[in-house]
Amino acid sequence: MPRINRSLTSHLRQKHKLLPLLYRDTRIPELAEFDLRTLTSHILTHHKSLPPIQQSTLLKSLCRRRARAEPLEHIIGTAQFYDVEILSGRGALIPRTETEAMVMRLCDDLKNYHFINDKRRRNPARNFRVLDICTGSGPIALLIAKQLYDLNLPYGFRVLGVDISNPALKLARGSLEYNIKKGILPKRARQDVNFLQGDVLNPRPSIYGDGKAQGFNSLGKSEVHDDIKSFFMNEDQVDSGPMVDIVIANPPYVSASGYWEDTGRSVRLYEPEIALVPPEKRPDNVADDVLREDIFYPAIEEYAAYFKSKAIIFETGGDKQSSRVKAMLESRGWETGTWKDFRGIHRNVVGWRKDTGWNWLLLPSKDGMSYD
Amino acid sequence: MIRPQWICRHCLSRARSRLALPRPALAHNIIRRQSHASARANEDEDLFLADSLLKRAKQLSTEHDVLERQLLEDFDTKTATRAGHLRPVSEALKEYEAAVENLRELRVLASDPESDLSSMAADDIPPTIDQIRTSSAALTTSLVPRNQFAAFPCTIEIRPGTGGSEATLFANDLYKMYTSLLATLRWQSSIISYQTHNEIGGEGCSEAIISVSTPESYDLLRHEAGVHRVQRIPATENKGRTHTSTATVMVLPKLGEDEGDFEHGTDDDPLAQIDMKDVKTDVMRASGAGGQHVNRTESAVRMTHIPTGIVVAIQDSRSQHKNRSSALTILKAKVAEKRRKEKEEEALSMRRGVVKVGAGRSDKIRTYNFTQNRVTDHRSGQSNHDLPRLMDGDGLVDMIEGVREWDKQRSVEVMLALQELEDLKAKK
Repeated sequence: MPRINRSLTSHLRQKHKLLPLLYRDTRIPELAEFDLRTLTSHILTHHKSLPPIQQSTLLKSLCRRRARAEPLEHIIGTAQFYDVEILSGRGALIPRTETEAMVMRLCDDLKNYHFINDKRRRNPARNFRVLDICTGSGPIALLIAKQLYDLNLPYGFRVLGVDISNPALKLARGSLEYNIKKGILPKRARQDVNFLQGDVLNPRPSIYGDGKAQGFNSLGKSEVHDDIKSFFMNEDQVDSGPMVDIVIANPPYVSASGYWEDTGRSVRLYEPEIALVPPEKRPDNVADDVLREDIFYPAIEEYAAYFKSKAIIFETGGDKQSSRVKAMLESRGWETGTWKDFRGIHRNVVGWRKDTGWNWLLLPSKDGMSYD
Repeated sequence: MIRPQWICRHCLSRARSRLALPRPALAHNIIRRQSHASARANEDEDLFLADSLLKRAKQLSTEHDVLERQLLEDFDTKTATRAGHLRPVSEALKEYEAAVENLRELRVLASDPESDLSSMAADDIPPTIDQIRTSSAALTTSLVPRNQFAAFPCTIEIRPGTGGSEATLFANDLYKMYTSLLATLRWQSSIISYQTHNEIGGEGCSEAIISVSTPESYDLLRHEAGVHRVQRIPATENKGRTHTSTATVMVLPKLGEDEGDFEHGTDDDPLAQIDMKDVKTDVMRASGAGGQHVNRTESAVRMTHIPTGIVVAIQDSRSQHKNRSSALTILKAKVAEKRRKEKEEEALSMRRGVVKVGAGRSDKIRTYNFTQNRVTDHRSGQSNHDLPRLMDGDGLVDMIEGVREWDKQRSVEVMLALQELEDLKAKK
């Protein structure tokens, strides 16, 4: 790591004696100040009863941890993900702002374009269903749930998060309880939201490959598929047609070389590699010409196709990956589009089935929070 | 015929002999009678409110009645607050209408010479007129729309302005003044940021951010936003000269989960429409791949509306997206406010017949003169002659209340001016 300029350190020390410590990892003076502010307010709210001297020693020790590149969220214990709070720890990726923006854009669009149609809102046949694959500590699932509760859908909704990692799922279930305890989510979220352990890359015949000959029934044999089915199926509701409305995913998308070149030190030290880089072993149902960082996308798409999802939304690593994923979706018969993030990078790929009326996915968001 | 307002007596006498104008006494008479008549008309116009205002008052009052009926059936906090805001309008309107009706009847009675009551009625007219005056004033005040963020808690940000280290000392004084003000008001507050450093002559403050969590605190404290000027002999000055320095106070509403119903600044407000291309957002984040690659989760957002140069910086929440959306809401409201101000200034200048009204809003709002032991607010013109006690937060509330009163009266005038402008346009 590059050396820190001495005059800058002394300048920072003048402002606050702990700032040079925080500057070690952040390397931006404003960010160091921001970290200090957050840590101070954390101590002032969560350790109110401590005497001031102990508060300041605590602050110092927290700053030391931060200087060792430990993420702020791990130190504080939670990450703010728009309305909801997500427990954070070594088991899962800390939710990113880009993901937050993706979910909020989807929810605002659902509110302003989709549920504006009363027939869709009061669909008596069944509730609204969201499948979040590679959910990690559950931020997407919980924020969608929170936003859908605010919409007050008459027939309710169900959100399911799937992940392979048990430590991450522990955090996700903990976050669900934490938000219920804090009153951010209602008590019935325990029924409406669930998290499920399952390997999405578990090889099975592809819908698009040789598996077609054996029919769809053989595909349903997978335990993950059965578990998802049993969560969404409801005895008192007639089920025909699509089983899921949206499949949303923020899968690992960093390439093996990108992991060493582009990621931050704090990411490599404190966040699980499994949440960032797809495994080396390619599943059988993914074609050989797919790059390693892309292998999750076709696998997840098979879930969307199997459950006849109306729409699919992915977060990707950038412009190039977005165009590859877009091409993959188009080749499998989806109508597609991309969303830019606040820096102008094509961050999300959206796909929807023809004749579902979901082409509003491409409309600019009504509150001005889209950047296309 | 063009009649000059004033003609010198010499000229008039010469003109009279040449053009055989009517006798001066007569001309004088005409003018007087005319002015008399116009004064009469004005009196009645002053007495009764403009039709457009009355119409608006009636609309709001019917809305209030409907809401009250709804509340009887089932209680809802939102409806109740809205009804609460409309109640003064409805009450003032009732009072006003009763007084007007009274006056009409009294005049009928007084004009009837045969009735015994005529003299009594004539005696009752002046107090009724007074009653109409007070009730119509109350009605106009109640019609002034509330500030759209009035119900919200707020954050106070204090930063030194011009004047170097002396300005940082003054910023620290202001910080102490506001903390003691909040303590006397018993408002819940927390310090988000307070950065001090030692200066010669005391402790200087380069940034102080106080978050006030009491609802409706924005309504009072918004009057404190602006440039505060200090005039004193700094500790560093060895020749005894008075220096002038400034500190800037910014007060921003803190938008929560429930953003409430604004009257202005929402998507429905045509003045609040801004093109997102004109908005520049700065996030304190290095460039790079983003997404899963980095976990810099700092959340401070600064937005600039380029055409108007309005800047909003938000760091209330740990969620960047949330800060971004509240920054956008406030930015829209501020742009709308600026555009509205421009419209108001235009209307006011037409009403007063002057080109420019007052100094710009960005000018200093208050002067703290330590050598004269005096604090003067430049908006209300109010002065306080006990500076040390004011800096302890004592008497500051009175001063802010004075500004609030001034603001109210100004808003009434603005509203009337806007109404006139609209009436004028409608006539055309």
